[in-house]
Parts: sequence; C-alpha cells; structure tokens
Amino acid sequence: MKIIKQGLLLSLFVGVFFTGCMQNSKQMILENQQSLKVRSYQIKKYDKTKKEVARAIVSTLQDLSFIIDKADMETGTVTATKLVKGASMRMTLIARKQSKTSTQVRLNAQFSGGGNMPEAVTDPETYKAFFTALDKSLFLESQGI
Amino acid sequence: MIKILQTILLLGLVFILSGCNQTSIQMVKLKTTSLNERQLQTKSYDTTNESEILSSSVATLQDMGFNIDEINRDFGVITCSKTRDAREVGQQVGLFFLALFAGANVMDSADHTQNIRATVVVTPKEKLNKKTDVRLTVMRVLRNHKGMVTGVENIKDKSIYQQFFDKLSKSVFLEENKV
Repeated sequence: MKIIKQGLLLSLFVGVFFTGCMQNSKQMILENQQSLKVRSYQIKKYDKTKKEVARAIVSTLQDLSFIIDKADMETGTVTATKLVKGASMRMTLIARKQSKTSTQVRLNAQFSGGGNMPEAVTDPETYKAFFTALDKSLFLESQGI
Repeated sequence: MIKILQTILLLGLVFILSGCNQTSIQMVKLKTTSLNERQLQTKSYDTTNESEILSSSVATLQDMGFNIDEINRDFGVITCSKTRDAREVGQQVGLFFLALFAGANVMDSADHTQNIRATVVVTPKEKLNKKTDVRLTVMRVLRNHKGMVTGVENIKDKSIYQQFFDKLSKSVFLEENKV
C-alpha cells in the first residue's frame, strides 16, 4: 500500500515537473526578446541614399549566395534565403530613409543548423559580420566595381 | 599508451564534428573567392535602358523554363524557380551495384528531383560608364524519390553562367529588333 502511494506521488511529481518545463508553443509568436537590446545590434546607419544602400544590400546577399525571395523598393524591404548542406538562414532587411543622404538598415535573421530547430539569431557578432560584408559592398560600389 | 591513443581519437572526433557544423556567423561571412564569383556571375551590357534588359532577362529565363516568383522593377530584381529531373545515369548505375552488395536501402540516397532557384539583378551604371550590369546567381536543392533533401548546391560552374549570358545577349538583340 505504501509503495503504491509513493509511486502515485512520484508520478504526480514527475507530471507537474514536466508540464512546468514545457513552454507553450504559442509563446513563440511573441518571443520574449528585449526589443531595445535587439534593435541595438540589428540596426546600422549609413551616409548614403536609400537606393544606393538597397542596391548594395542585394549585391551583398548575392555575394553571400543568398537567393532573393522578395524585394520592394518602395518600403526598402528585401527578404532572402540561403541554403547550404545541413543549415539554412532566412533574413529580412529594411532600408529606411532618414534624410536625403542617410539611411538606416535593420536586419533580422533566422537560422537552423546541425539538425537544430530554426530560431531567431540573437548573436550580435552574426549581425556585425553581415554589416561588415555590406560595408565592403558599399565601398566596392562607390569605386565602381 | 592506450590512454594517449584514446585522447587523440576523441580530439579527432570533436574536431571532425565541430568542422561539420555550420554556425550562423559563417553564413554571413564573405569568402575570399566571393569577388571572383561576383565577376563570373556578372556581365555588362552597352545600354542604359534598364527596363529593356530586365524584360530580356525575364524572356531568357522563360526560354529556360523558369517560372517567375518575384519581380521588382525599381530594384531590378527577378527571382525564379523550376523543378526538374535530377537523375544521372552515372549515379544510378553506381548505386545499383552498391545496392547489389549492400542492400536495397541505398536507392534512398539517389537524387530524384531538383528544385532550381535563380536570382537576376539588373543594375544601371549610368553615372559610371553608361552600361547596365546583369548578375545571375543560381542554387539547387536535390531530393530523393521520397522527397527528402539529399543535397544543396550553389552553382559555381563558369560554363553555366556563360551560357546564360549568351542566351541573354541574343534575347537583348531580339528585343531591340522587336522579334
């Protein structure tokens, strides 16, 4: 009798333990990210016109072997996907006009690699690396290459 | 002695496994070859009529059997795709003999269909040299007969790009002459 009681208690405990751990999958719609922190590494400003920046974004994506899914100049939006063996990345970039000669770029990306679930990229270094590639492309463009 | 061997083996294994795994930062880092690839994928045309080049590009892609997924005139971007047969005689024969010795399951690793996606970007270089640049990038996803992905590849063959630009040059000529 005592053993049965103990067993019941244990299974109840295990049940509570696991449901406590489990995240409601609907929570992924809002995703608990700190918007100010996220913005700090997803945004970069450029002293170029929107058109120049937007064109450079597309050529950077091509340099990195991305395929463009969507592009709209009016809103300055580009969405692109890259697939390599065992990994994929999808990103959206928005070039927004700040003034006549300055443009703000915001980029957000999702990545899945090594059989893991796709998830938002929260590593600032990844964003930094992309902006470095974009800097290079803008430089090349200004040199006419 | 055995312990040292074991350590080396373990280290080797870790090395191999970590080498395989792609990280998000690797996806957005430029390779040293990317400037070369850019040149390979780009061709300049002696015209400032961006619109005409864009229309010719669409026509060429249609000639090649692509369906247009996305097009934006202001950006000069065209994205298109098609799904085709990916079976190659060499691979099929090789796998047939492997199946004879290793069992029937190896046929799952045979490529069956391929989904080809391409982006064309038309960039006017009016200020610079009164030319218009066209850049093509192509990738393909290979699947087996069950629809599972067996491979992903960014196309880097020079001849594929050359042939596309040959076709495009013809298309530009046809468009100019309203054929």
